[in-house]
Amino acid sequence: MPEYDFSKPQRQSGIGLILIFTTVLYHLVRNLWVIIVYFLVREVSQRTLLLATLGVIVVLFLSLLYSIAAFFKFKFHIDQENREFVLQKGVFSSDVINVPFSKIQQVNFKRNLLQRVIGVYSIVIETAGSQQKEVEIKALSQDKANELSEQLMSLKHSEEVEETSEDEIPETNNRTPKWHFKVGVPTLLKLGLTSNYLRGVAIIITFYFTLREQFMLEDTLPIEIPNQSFVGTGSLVFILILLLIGMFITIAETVIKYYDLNLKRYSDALQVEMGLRTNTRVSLKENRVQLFEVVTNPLQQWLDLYQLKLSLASSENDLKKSQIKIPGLPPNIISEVKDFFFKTEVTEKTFLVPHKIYLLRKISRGMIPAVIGLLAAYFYQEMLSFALIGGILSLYVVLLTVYNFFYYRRLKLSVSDEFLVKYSGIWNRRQQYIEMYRLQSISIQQPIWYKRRGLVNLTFHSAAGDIRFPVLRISEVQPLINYLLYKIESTSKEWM
Amino acid sequence: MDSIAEDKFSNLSIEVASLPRYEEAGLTSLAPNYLLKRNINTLISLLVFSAILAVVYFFLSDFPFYVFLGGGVFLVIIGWSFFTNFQLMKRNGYSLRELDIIYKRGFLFEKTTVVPFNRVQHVSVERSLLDKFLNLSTLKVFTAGGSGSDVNIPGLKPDTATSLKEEISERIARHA
Repeated sequence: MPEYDFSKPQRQSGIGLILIFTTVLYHLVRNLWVIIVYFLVREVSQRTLLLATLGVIVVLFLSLLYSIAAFFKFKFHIDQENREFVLQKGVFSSDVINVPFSKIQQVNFKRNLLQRVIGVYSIVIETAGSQQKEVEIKALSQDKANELSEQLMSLKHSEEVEETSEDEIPETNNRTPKWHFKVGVPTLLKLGLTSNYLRGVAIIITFYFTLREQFMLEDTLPIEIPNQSFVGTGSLVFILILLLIGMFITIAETVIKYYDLNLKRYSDALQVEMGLRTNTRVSLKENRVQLFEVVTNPLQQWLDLYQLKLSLASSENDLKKSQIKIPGLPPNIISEVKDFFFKTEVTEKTFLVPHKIYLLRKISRGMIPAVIGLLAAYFYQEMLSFALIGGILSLYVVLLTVYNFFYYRRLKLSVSDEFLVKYSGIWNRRQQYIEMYRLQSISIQQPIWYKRRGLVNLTFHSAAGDIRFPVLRISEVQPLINYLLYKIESTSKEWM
Repeated sequence: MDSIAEDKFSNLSIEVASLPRYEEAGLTSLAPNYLLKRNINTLISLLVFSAILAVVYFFLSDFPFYVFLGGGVFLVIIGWSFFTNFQLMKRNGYSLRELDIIYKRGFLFEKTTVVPFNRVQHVSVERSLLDKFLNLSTLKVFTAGGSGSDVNIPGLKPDTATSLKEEISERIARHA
């Protein structure tokens, strides 16, 4: 690596100035296009035109000054002593970004059209941080970009000595898996039958409205039935038909999405393959999974159908993108997969449950619409039948109370030596497992009105999203947090 | 109920009671200029809103009642903001322990975040224009847990922020 020395703070290629200037101009135009259009469309007097031209020249000059300042303030270097990559930038503010070698995930090249024209490369240093693009150096010559990327990657690898065999799994195809599980079409049919049909109904409704909008079908397909006496039976039949179609669509969707679902367990990875239309195959290494979630409902539980959701570390706050859903698994496969990802057994020892205040608060919040309804009924007595409104409202209140009571009863946090497990949900029951040492940080929130009672909300931040747990007693939370911190800080295991 | 839960806790493989307690870490307050910064920001919004009110009053002189009502509500909000600023100055604080950093902030909604150093992705120090005038800096600690788990400590003296950053960087490097 003698060619370029990155140990001293240095700037980008001089030609990068063009890139910065163009970017500044682009942003200006994008933000001020209304004014530009105004001048193009409206007829303006000579004087205004002159002033506008002067204005444009001043703005251009200022942008140029800004770009030059930005160019000179943008400096980067490799700090061998502190084992990190350092970037300084900012015209009015001065930002310093430090990326330790060990935190570098990948170094990528990028080139847009302008960069192609002026012959420079972008280098993007990806870290597992919260921003998508952590560090980008936009204008480097090809040689320099190559050299920098190579140096960074080799420095990154020098940090992780033990992980020498980190390369991609070599051709998992021609090896024999330790076990193999296949979800057949009958299982998928059962799964579709016991899923939530409302999804299917929602699909038809959206489909209908898009069609209506496109072809103006209002006349041929009247959705409202005009005759009053007809409404009772007519809409009931309509709803039944809708549900039936919804059911059919849900089943079809399930089969198409998860057709030929295959789970293969190799010694170092779990391979998941599924899908009729778009066949996806993912190979999961054990240390990539951050959150492990098992979902089922009572019907599916009875049929031995459990859904597994595996969340991987994501660079953004977007949870869905890096989540893999594997439905239709029997309990023994679930525990096999659990064994693969977690080396230790989950032995639940202590359960934390939310304080009763939480239940009260949920019910009283739900009461607000009821109170509004009651007030409305009182003020518009002539138009509405008080008895009918009263009946509906009392039914609502009963349902609300029962629902929240069972929701509250299901909600609990189990603490074992190595794991946190959150149980929640009434119909769709979820168990979220997180290994303590994979936590990134912990937050405790306390609204001022919880202080007197000594209650707090707890948030566990993992690399695949947050798990929140409401209204716990602080006397139980503090030892838990101290234990978790001990677990995180004393481990030498890499979380990813 | 409580006592049972705590009894079971000590059954974990180590004695939880003997662990260092995050809640007992002494917090360091932010630099006094942080209060000034917050008050300046509140004042700026005060000025902007007063200007808007003046314009509205000028055009809507037929309905002065609503303008005065708006002004009254606004005064209450501004008063509350100044009160909050003082409370935040008093309550916000951080603590650097051997293996983690604790940051506590908020008045109505108090939030404490603990970030272990071996989960820190990177650290940076940032300064806005106002920060430069007031001789302040913001320390940003990034983790892989998304924005909710990151810690931004505003209102630090620049040399404090820099030395904190260097200290944390060094500890990350030691753990990595």
